[in-house]
Amino acid sequence: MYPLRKTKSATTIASSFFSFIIVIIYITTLIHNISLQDRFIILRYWELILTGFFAVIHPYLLFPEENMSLLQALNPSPNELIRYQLRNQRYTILGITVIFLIISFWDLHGWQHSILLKVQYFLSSLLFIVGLFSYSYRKYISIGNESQAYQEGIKGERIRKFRDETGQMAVPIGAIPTMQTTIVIGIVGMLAVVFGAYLSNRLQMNMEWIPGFLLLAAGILPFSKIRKVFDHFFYQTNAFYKEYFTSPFSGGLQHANDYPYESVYWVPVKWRASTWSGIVQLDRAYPLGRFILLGHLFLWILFYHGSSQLIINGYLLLFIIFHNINIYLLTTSVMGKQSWNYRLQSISNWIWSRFFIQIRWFLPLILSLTVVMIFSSRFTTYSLLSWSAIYILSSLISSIFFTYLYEFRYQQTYD
Amino acid sequence: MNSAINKLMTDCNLKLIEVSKRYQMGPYVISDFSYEFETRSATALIGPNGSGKTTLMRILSTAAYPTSGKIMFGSLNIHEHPHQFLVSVGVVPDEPDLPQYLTAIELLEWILRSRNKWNGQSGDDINNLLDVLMLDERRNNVIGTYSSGMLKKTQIAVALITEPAVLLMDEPFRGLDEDSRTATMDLLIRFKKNNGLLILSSHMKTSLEPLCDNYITFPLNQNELTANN
Repeated sequence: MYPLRKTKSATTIASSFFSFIIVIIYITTLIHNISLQDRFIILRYWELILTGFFAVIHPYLLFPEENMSLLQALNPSPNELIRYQLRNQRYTILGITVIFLIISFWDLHGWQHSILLKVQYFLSSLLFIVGLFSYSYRKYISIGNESQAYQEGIKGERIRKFRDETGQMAVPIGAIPTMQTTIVIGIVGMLAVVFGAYLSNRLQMNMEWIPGFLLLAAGILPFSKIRKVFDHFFYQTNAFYKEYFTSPFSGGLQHANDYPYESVYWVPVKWRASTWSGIVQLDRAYPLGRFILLGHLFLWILFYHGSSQLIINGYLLLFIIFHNINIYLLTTSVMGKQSWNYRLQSISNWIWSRFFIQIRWFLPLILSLTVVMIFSSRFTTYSLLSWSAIYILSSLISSIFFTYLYEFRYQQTYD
Repeated sequence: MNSAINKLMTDCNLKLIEVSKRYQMGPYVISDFSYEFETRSATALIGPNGSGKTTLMRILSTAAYPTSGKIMFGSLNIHEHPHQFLVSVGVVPDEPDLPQYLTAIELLEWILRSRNKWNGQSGDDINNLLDVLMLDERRNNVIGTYSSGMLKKTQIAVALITEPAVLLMDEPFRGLDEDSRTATMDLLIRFKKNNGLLILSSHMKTSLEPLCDNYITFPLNQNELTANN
């Protein structure tokens, strides 16, 4: 099969590149003059962050397949389907590899300083990520059958009964297997990092390749069994996520009731409607709340662990920048084509609407930082105010930046 | 190997056995539906919007999986082995989602090469098919510049170029002008006569009469269905 590429908008490419550059700049300033031991600890932190990433993101990266009818026409074999899906994720793995390379070798004393040890840790981290990726991919690719059974009432009777009796479950029943898988991958990944660190400390030599190797085995060995019938897993899992993400009859409809228009009472009337529609769309399409929660948990872990001020500042900066993904996602055609947006309201109104969409995560951030301030003497009121200001400023800048790339460019082209 | 499977699948009926489908915990869109689509026949799925035609089309093309029941193509369970089934199938989905930066000719070449069906004659075959479908000289323009009618013709060509045994078409005549509609109709009648199995969905029963032998009216009612045929 010839390469079948997902089409990416200029906004996607620009924002991915922009985010990646920021991460790289941050890492290079952080690690150019730190000890070997700190360097390896940072690698472990990244492994933890990426565990959260792969635990949540895989179904969103892979499904639903946007070239489905073309794929049916081309009808690739099971092996070609595997290659196609992996090829579409190569930039993710490549980006992670670059980050690991920089953390391992960007050194004021020269990249060759303690080269053997650096190579060992770099390869261990890479093995860990490849292992985690395989394990997560294996788990998610075969989830369709189980998920559909939950979604359509074949399974999950007790959970459904609990929901009906208590009314306490906002999550669609079909998402239960996905959530279980997220939890399993998250726990397995985190335990693997801890296990690797424990082994290395205990034996006084780098044994961090062992968990990566075990994860790789756990991903690849079962995969060899399903390889020949991969098409069945691919089509069924895609069918489930297609219905789950896009069908008006599936889970999305329930979410719509979770966000009544009145819930955005805090937004000025002028921008309330577009802020509301943006929030509804975002929350139906992406699990951003879960990512933000994971981000706060990780922040608390950093403080609990007594990480250096540089690491905490760097992490907070990245975390705040990550919040702005809200605005990027809103400037893609699935959320509203440029022509539609442009006719709906003016460019300045879009900037303010997106700013308010972004501001909805401000209160959780303040609460989280207040918790940190209460328990840590290193985080003062001044720090809280500074980070609040940075958050608001970055929200405004990214609203302007992405609106410029999207509606403003449309205006320049057609008006 | 593909051609061997294709040969094996020719003359196979498509048999639905107690197929049901619902979305989440909503009402069943299709309930315990059993039916046999035969070769050398054309069946139209007729009904209002949202009555389940596209759902059945998606299930038949393996883009959706039934809640229960199974569909057999000869001895093949199509949802267990979608790749093998799709070797024998051409699909025209309702919405065009074709690559924007290829021409129609390049797209068809890609499909033939991908399915290992490209040979010295293929270039002429592509042009002949596009001639029959009345896709004019703009076949050499990129698809992103096509009108809705041209997109539909390209979709039909995509489905037919591999000479499938089964053709699944969702609203195949939508967007076509009168001449193109007649030409496509003739093409499909020929497909049926050559052992083809055609299933199409449409809102307009009257215009399908020269082509279709059977009609399934949606929403489905198993008892009425038997009487219709």
